[in-house]
Amino acid sequence: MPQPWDYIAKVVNIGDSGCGKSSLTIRLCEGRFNPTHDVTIGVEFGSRIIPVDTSPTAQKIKLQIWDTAGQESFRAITKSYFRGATGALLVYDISRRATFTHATEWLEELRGAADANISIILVGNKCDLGNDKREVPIEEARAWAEGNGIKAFVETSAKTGEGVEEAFVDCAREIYRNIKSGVYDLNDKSHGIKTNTAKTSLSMDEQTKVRGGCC
Amino acid sequence: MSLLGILQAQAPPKQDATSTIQTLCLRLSTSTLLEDRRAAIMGLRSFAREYKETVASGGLRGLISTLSKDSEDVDTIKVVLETLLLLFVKDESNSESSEDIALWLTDEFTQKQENITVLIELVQDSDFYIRLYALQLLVAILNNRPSRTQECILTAPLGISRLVSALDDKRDAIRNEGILLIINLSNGHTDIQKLIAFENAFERMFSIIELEGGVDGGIIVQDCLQLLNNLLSFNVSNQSYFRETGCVPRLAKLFQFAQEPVPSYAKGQSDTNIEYAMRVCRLFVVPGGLGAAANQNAFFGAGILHLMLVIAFSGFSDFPVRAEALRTVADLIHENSLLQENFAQMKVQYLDPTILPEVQAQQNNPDDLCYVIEGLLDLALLNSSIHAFDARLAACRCLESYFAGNQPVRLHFLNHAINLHAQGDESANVLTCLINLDQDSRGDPYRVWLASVIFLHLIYSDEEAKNLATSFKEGDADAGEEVVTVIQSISANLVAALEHNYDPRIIIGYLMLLCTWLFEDSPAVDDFLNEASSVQSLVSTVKQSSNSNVLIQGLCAFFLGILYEFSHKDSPLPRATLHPILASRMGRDHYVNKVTKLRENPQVRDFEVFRETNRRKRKIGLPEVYFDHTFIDFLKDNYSRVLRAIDKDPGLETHNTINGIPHALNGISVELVDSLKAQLEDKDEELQKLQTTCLTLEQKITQEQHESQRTKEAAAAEVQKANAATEALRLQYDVELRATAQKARSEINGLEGQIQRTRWEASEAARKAKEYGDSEVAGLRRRVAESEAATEKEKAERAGEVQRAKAEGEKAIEEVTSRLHSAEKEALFAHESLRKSEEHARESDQRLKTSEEALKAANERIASLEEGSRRQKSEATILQEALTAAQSRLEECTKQQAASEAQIKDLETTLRALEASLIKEQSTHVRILHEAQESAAALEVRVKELDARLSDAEHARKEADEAAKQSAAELDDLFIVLGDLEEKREGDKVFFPFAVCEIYSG
Repeated sequence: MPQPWDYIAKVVNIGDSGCGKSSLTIRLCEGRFNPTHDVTIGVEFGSRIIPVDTSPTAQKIKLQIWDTAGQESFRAITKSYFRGATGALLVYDISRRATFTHATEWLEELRGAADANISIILVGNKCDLGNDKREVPIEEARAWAEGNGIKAFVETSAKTGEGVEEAFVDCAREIYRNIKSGVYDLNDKSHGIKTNTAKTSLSMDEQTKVRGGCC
Repeated sequence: MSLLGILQAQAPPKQDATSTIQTLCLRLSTSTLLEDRRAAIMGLRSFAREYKETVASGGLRGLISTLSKDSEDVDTIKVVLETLLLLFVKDESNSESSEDIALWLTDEFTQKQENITVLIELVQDSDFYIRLYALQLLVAILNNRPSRTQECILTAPLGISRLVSALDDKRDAIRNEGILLIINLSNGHTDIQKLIAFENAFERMFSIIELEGGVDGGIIVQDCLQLLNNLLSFNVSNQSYFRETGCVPRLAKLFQFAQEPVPSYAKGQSDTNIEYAMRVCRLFVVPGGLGAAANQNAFFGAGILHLMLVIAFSGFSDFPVRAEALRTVADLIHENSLLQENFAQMKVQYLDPTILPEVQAQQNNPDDLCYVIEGLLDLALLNSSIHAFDARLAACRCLESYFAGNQPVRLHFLNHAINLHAQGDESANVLTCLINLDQDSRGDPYRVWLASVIFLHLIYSDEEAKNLATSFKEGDADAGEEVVTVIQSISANLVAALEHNYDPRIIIGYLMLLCTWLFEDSPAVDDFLNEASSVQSLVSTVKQSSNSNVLIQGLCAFFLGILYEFSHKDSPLPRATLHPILASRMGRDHYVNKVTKLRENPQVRDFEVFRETNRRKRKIGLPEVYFDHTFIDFLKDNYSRVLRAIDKDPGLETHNTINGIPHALNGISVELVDSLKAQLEDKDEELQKLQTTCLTLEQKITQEQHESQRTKEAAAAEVQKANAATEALRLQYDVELRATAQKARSEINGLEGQIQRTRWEASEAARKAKEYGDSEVAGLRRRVAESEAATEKEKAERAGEVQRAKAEGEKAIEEVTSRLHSAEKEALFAHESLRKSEEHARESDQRLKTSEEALKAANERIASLEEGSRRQKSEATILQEALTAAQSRLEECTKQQAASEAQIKDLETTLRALEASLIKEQSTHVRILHEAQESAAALEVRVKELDARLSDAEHARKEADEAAKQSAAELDDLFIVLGDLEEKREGDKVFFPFAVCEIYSG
């Protein structure tokens, strides 16, 4: 049985504390929403396999999502995970303007540590809150993204699930496009891309061992 | 399609690994039974190698929490630790493995203090595997996040001491893992290093090393030495702890191994261990370090210096070991004059430098000794083996350390070298190597290079040594030989080397020496400039465009800059001639370009950074070592100055020293100096003239002085006379004053005597009067008491008689009833007379009371008298006060006299002032005299006053007498009263018998 993916890509979630980075990750990986999520300590991670297009034979990318803590005190730790990231979700909270202005600093830090070809997507989270609480207009965010060389911008709601899938799919597709256009040197690990070369399944031995372990 | 494929197709749908792992993780976190959890963990362990990411993301938290939750269950813990270790292992072939997983694992542990604490507690477990795995996990964690983990371990209760205790484990695997852990733990954290040291780590390390067999002990010994290295590097506190706890001799013991062949299989590790141990030694004596001097002495005391030399000059030691030993020796004696002298006296085994090392080992002869300096020179200058280079460089460093900060040693060494060279001695000699550029030297370019470097250290920044070296000349002029100096020989060699393209190291060696030698030394520059062709040769080298060596061209240019900077107008090649050669023939821009290129060359620019590594990186052929560190410092310090030298006007000389004495002219035009000199001569002449006039003037002055002296003396005599007169006056006045004071004092004394006497008399009279009164009163009281007693007795008698009379009366009534009335009348009469006598008694009582009142009045009088005498006393004190006032006046007078003396002194300043003040003084004297007389008069008035007071006192005494008399009169009265009383009593007595008779008769 082949591994169910063709590529692994490393994606980091960054942004101020309380923007909903962990909620986005949980929404994507586990499909649920937890209204009372604790503050992230250091780093969490999860993964999700995403097909790059809708055809049944489409190639699949496994997104390895590193959900970093937004709090300043963890900055030293989280920074070491930026290295070798293929993609990044730069998250802000549309109801708090400060989180959007801080995005500039996050972007600087990310570009300083990560690969030059990293695919960054700007994500405005909590779009379910409605216009009366909104502090960052869509147009402004889009303009900022373009002005800073970020190719994609999307608004999401981890609570309702709106746009979440879209955000990660966008990210996966851009990475796939980059792979196809040969931006990454697949032998060089610094891009965080790995190709599935070992198309082997579990051997019989190991299966038995597993069963023995389970029962 | 293989058979396997067919089988696979027929097999039931397989379990998906990911979902299985998820199930296992769920079971781990939710199961309540220990067995279930253990089964889940074992399942996870099987996946951990292949599916690191999935296992880590789902199961890590559960695994870690099991460590504390199921800590009693050894089997479970063991499996958990195994699984965690598997997750840490990086596996290149596995696409799911990434460094991030290990990093994430590390962060899971280090972000939560309790997780590290749990691991540290597991290190205490007695189970072999648990202990080992826990240590391995800690090592892995430390490698990933060193500083964070160090903090966690430091925070954990007893963290450090628990980990260090793993070193005592008897099981080698655990002990060795413990050493690795502590090496990682101690890296770069001073506080942890101290804590580890205080856990007796030095002792433990040496015990392990000794257990393992010293330097022959394999890689564990290397690890132990590495740990010592970590604990001691740049940690002065630990270094002194090491020194004070007697560890230096134990370190020395490591070097006490027999000098004999080591089997080749063990040689590599043994040499590494020796080098590590030597590196530990060197940590203590880093040149310029805080405790370096104390450590140098302690190490010398433990014999380490000697042991190092034995190793360095043993035929069995390989060159890397010899080099490290020599570097250690260099650090041990650096700038320590005591050890430098001791060092020179030491002897080492003589090794023939021309024989191959393998042969040396066979010919090892420990009894063939030579002085260490000779041994070092042999090694540095004569051993041409390419493998020996490190050792040669180290020998050169040894000599440098031997010279460092010790001028006598330098001069001695230089003198010795010159003498031996002059005698044509064949032993290794720096000077000979520099001067004789023969075939051998060309074959071994480092011979000249090392000789240059050693010589450079001999003369660097040492005027005296430079002068000594410059003054040495060779060649016998009488025998027709050309006399040449060392500089000339060297420059000739340099020119030859440049022309024939000898190895660049030879050229660079010479140039380094010349640059430092000629810097700030104009006589040496002159010496060099004697041969103008040398300059031409240098210039043409700098101008060469093809086949050029940047270092050589740059150094030549730099050297030309120094030549120009320190040349002067009287040089053999004057500045004015030299400047166009440089600025035009060579070209100013060309010069700047070459010097800048030199400075920018990595060999120069990054010298300090790559100093150690460069040597190790060399490939085939000669090492890429071109420069000495002192020269590089010199070049970098003076780079900009020499670079700008060419822009200086030839007329401006910079710095000119002759025999070490700065010869003025610092940046001043020479012409200006000449004109100044001429001016100076003119000034000298003028000065001469002025001096003669000055002399005549002085003579005049002395004459004048004589005259003035004479007048001064006359004036002084007058002053003396006046002084004598004043003195006489003063004496006279003193006598008068004293007489007056005496008189006043005697009068006062007389008065005081009178007062005393009067007072005494008065008090005596009062006392007598009082005594008399008292005795009288007492007598009176006694009499009163007697009379009272008598009265009482009479009363009692009378009562008895009355009763008797009554009884008789009653008898008479019984007998004579008819006479009853008359008898009753008589009884009544008797009663009446009784009452009368009682009235008499009462009267006498009243009299007594009045007499007592009179006595009280007398007492009051006495008290008033005493008060009077007290008043007299106070008056006497007032008088005494007046007396003291008079005395203070007297003192004031003497003070004024002192003031007058001061004025007398003032008088001496000028004669006129003297006379004026003399008169003033006299008048003052008169006034003072007058005042004194006045005060005497006042005293007399006082005396009169006192007389008056005395008469008052006498008057008071009279009054007291009168009072006494009065009291006596009153006493008389009392007596009279008493007499009356007695008379009355007598009367009563007379009357009573009469009454009794009447009763009887009645």
